[in-house]
Amino acid sequence: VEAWQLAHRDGGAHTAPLGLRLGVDLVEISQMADSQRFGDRFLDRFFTAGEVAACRYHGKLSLRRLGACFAAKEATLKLLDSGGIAWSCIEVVGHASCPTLRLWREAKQRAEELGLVSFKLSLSYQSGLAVALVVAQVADPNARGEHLDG
Amino acid sequence: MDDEIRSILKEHGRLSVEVASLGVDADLYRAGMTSHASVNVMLALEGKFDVEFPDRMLRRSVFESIVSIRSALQELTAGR
Repeated sequence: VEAWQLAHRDGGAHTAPLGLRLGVDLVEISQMADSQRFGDRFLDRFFTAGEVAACRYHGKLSLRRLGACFAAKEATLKLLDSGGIAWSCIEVVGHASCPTLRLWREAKQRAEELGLVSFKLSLSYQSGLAVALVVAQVADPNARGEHLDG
Repeated sequence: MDDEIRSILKEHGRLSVEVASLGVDADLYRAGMTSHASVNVMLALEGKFDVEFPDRMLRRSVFESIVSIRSALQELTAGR
């Protein structure tokens, strides 16, 4: 999905098109519990040590935080419009109240191909659901001569 | 191998349609499998076939159909 809007530049002296891409994902927390049946394999394969540490609360793994972290990876994959990127190439960094994204390998390469900069991530969870929204700015959509339909 | 894949999809795939009705090349995500359910499918496949999906295979496209899952498993079990 790509949204287009007018953004003021140079103090509002003129307007120029600004490209945005977004991705969103919703995870049922109960599915995270299902994954725990497979033990540490699940955590080791899909999350970094830092992500797992950030999902612990008083030493106990918070499934809703873990669900939000997984949703963030999925939302980013949607934003990047590619099913060929490993989940481990997308890392959620920082506390859930102020998370940021770190992209590695093919995720980073794909973002560069799309000319994406300035990623913003927002996470939330309530009533058995976790949601993640990722927005990225296209550096200069006019220069790229590319229009992506949502 | 397809029967075992279908069995795991039935247990972990959370599909919105009957697994038996799906062709081998049917899109599992369109059949209702969430991305997180595909993770559980992958972990169950590892246990069933005693394999470990390498990082390069931990992506949505590998689990999008029975035939793509079969292809990955055949690669992982080749030479046994």
